[in-house]
Amino acid sequence: MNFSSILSEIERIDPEIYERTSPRRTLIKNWTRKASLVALPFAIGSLFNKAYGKTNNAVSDTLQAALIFELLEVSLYGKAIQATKVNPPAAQLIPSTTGMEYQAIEMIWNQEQAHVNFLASILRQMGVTPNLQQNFDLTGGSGSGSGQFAQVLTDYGTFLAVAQMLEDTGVRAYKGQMASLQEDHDILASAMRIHSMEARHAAHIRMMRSQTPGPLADGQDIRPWITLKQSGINSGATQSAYDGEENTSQMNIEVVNIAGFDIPDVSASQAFDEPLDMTAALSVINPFLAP
Amino acid sequence: MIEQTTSAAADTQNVSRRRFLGYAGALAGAGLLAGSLASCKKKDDPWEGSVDLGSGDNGLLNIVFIITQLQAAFYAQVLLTPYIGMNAQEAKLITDMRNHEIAKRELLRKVLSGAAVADISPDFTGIDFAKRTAALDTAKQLEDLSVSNHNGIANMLGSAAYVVLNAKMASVEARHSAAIRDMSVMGSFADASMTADNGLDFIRDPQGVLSLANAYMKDRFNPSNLSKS
Repeated sequence: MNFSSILSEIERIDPEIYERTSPRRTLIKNWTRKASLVALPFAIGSLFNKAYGKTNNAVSDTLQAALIFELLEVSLYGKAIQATKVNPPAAQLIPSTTGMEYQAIEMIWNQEQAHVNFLASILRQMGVTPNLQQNFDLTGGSGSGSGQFAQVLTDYGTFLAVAQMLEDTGVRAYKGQMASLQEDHDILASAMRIHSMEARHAAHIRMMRSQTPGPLADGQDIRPWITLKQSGINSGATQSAYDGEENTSQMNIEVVNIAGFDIPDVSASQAFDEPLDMTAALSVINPFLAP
Repeated sequence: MIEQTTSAAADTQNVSRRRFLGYAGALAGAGLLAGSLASCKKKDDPWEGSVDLGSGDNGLLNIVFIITQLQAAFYAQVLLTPYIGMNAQEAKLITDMRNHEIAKRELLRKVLSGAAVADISPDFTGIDFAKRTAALDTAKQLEDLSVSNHNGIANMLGSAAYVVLNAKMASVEARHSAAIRDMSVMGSFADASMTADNGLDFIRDPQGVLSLANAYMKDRFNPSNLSKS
């Protein structure tokens, strides 16, 4: 019995299998032509795992959590833009409404809103109602409005520090879900594309922070990438977002001075971003959620 | 190894531009030779004379290995022959990026072990390294290419550990791209086309990646066995 006939046998018994594994039907058909015999046990194994093993709930839960991150970022940038537009120049959060800083925040805001719409549309396609009703406390006070970052909408440096932490954490949170999305090819590809956009945002916010001293500057040289587990933010409230980034070993191979090259621990840690699992990622943003 | 040098300024004094141009000329000569050999080949095998990337995960990681080799070589050259007006901050960030690419390259060489393709021959002829715009534009193209490759291979990888490793590298490449773009034009860290495309970053399949990478190397790679596991 060849792979094609196994598939048609399953299709006869369970006509929904292609719908359940969709949108990989074309890929499956291609495999029947292209896959080598050695590949077949693995190909069949992963197909069944997707169709019958992992439920859609796990994927939609992941997307709902991603949505909370994106909504939080949309809220932060939207409120920052508001706190710039409505105030007289002396009280504007971002230095001016015509400068490149304002344009950058506006661009990031637009892209985060696009992520919200995109994730919501995937959830709706899965038959799941996206949870778009989440209240936030941007001061990190769990609803009190007087958290660690009480000046987030009045002090530009504090705003950028919170933005940096949320963007860096977003990168880590998406990265932490990639393996669990592996069987959902289209969703994995989209998650990767959102993930690298978050990294672009994080890098730019870091560039902005390196030029903007403020009460949360801690004297560290802030670069577009993460050095060891340095937050560059003078607040203990942000350290858990960076713990683990100091890793210098990948695939059980030490990267410091790898193959005799002069690669210090600083470079080795910067060269690879580290994932956060969902529990750790949500605990970082938990103070920013309000009832 | 020249890549280990961390002082770009010291390198400029030691390596004359003439020597670099000589090196570039030798590469161009090699290209002509390769071109004339290629013209003798039979027409029926489109991949004749190209190097097989291998199949499955090894083939996909080999593409990352190739792009990373290109980037490491490119940044090493930028630091050897800095563009006019490179400031200290830019030299610092480019040195970081060169180190990251070397770290990535050597890690992939170890991970791939016997399946790794041989070292490539970068071809940067035609790029005027003295010109800031030329150097930064090429860096931007290579970084964006790298991001699109990481995003494109993610759902083709079989090993979950490689899916994570690929993502660990992807976001750092995106940070590089943003930094280079900001050096070039402050505020251009992401493309307006990405905003229009649901806020999604670039993505390319291996063929698309290789066809763009071909502009920067003498080597030709054959991706036709990638779909085999």
